[in-house]
Amino acid sequence: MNTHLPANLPTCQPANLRFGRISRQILGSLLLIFWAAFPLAAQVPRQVSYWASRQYFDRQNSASDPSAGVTVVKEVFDSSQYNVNFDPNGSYTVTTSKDDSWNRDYGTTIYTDQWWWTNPTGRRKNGLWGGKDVSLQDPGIMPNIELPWAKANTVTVWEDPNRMGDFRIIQLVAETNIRLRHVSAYGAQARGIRVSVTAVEMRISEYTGLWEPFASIPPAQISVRGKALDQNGQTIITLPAGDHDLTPKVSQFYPYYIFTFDAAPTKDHHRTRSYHPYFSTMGGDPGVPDNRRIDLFSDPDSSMSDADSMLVTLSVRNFDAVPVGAELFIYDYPFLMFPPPFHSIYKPNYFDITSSTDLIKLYNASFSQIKQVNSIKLWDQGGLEMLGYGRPPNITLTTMVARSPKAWMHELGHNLGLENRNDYGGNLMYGYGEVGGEVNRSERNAFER
Amino acid sequence: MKRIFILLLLVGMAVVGWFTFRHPPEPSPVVSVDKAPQESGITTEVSRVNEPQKTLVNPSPATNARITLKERLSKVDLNKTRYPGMAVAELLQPQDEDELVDLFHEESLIRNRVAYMVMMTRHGGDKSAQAMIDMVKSQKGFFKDPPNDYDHEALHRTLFFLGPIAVRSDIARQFLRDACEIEYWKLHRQYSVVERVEPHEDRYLAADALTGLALSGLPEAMELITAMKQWDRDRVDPWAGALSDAAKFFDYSKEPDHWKYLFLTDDERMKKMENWHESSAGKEWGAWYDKIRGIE
Repeated sequence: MNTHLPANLPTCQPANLRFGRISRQILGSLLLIFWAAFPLAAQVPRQVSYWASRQYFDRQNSASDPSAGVTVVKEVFDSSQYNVNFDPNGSYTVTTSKDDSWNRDYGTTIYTDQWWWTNPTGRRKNGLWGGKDVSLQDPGIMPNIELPWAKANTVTVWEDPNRMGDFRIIQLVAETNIRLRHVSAYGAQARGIRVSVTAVEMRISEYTGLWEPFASIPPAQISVRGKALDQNGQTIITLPAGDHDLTPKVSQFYPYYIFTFDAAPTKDHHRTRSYHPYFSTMGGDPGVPDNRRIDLFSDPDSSMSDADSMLVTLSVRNFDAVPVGAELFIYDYPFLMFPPPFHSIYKPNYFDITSSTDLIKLYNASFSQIKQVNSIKLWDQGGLEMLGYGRPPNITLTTMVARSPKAWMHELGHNLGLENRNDYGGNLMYGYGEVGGEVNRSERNAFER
Repeated sequence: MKRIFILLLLVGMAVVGWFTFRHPPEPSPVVSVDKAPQESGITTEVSRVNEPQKTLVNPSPATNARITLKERLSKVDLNKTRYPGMAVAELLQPQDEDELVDLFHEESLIRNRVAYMVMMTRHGGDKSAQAMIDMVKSQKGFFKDPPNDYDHEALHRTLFFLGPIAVRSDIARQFLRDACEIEYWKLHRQYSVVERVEPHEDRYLAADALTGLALSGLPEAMELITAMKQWDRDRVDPWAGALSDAAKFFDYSKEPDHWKYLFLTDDERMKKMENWHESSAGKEWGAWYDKIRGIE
């Protein structure tokens, strides 16, 4: 028996009570953590990978050979890959033949050498080399073939560059199909992917008789899934999870061009939102624009290329708007209405905010990232009206009047560390009233970071 | 004769000496900007009378004086519904008050008077204060929902603008002191607002008067803030934001060139506000606010 206990002990069991209270607190906290973590868990980074799903290359070149007549080499590379692990299904065939003068002097030379990847892999070589049989069949060592990603319509060129009667035939058929795999936790919900393509027209060199780069193809002539590229050679498309054909198309006719391809997911910004309970007395949820997702994918003013020399001028760099690979997704916070002490209907200090301290305190409260209130009118601060207040690191505040998707993105911009840019009313970060949609390069970096 | 001459000389020297001490030299006509707010509205006429003398030494003020404020304002970008900015502040002179009051009265909507009222805070005195107070007192009818009624917003701002004027005007000072009490508005407010705001409107007005008084930096402002801070929790709870704001503005009023506050850009004002909340004084008030509002 503990003699140090005071005489007036409570009759109930405090330990049980305390435990019960703690249990409820822990349970409540776990629940809160679970619900709060749910939208965060949804922030699974998306990934894209791409590969040439089919490459066909049929090239024939007969070049003048002063010492040994004309050599005709015909290469046919036909490969299909249906997955990203490079599991090709195809073959590579080289046909070599010499002209009559060679055959007379050294013996008939015409043979084919073929490798195939179709299981089982193998190599077969047959024909005559200097009049001798070159037949060969073995399991085959696959040649390392790195052909450019290209597109060539059937091009046959007869040339006599030296005007010496040494005609040559250059023939080409090429086709490359690009396939992109979008790994996304959002399944069938389409998400943004920025695609970059550069294409270069190829022409035959008068001197070497080989295909050589001639000039870049303007990005505006290139499209991917029907969307033309911007001046940076990029476009943003939306795709659900899965494999997709993203072979670039060129609108003008070029006999032969090679291209590069790159793709990356756009930046997904996820924010939770809640609203003041007073809204429930005024018709309910103040709402979220654009079906809870707002993007900045479109290019408002056909921007200049990032490499444009005019961009060294600061004013041009500030003014030129660019498309932005960023999208805001808005989720309901598990407790959709403000909790105490921000919830009062009878003392609606956080519904129509007039005090900057009230604003700062609500903004700093951790219950949701976007908090919707009716109005923010800080009489002393000077803004005619504040559509919202957003600051880093993690909070955005938007009022009921900010129904416009652009206003939400404006506040997201503040949330990401951007300041107002008041030199033009069309700017997304314009600080007075209705905002525009234009984002410059430095702002783009903040949105895409 | 010689004695009479010496006597006259002594008397003459005494008169000159007396005159010298009785009438110190005229102050330099190049009026310091910092001194300007000390001049009340009543002294404006004196300043105008003195203008020709100033011309002899420094012609520029007199040149400006011949150009009306309206003409000067026509050369700058002025949005009457917004705070005018530093470019406008630099155009203002103490003797502009009458014209400013006229421009103020030319506008029928309160929202269109915002820029003029901010300009009045620079040098305005009793005339400016009276014009603004009359406007506040005379409001009748009905104001719409705050997000959609800029006149209502401008009306609230007016109380705040009276703060800097109260330094030079006893009328503004006394009005603000009275207007810090909810009871004043219960007795004098003639207009109504939407149902949601109506129960709180008197408190909002009193809070604006309090923050305005705090921006004046007058000692009674801090006395009032300190007294209200001592109220019991339930009573002070609705005032927690306003009191913290008022403490902030009182701190601003102690800074050099504090008059510039209303001429800063919106972003500069917001930045200043955020910086104050990060300061030790701001954090102290923030902790008090949290305690009163029960924020953990």
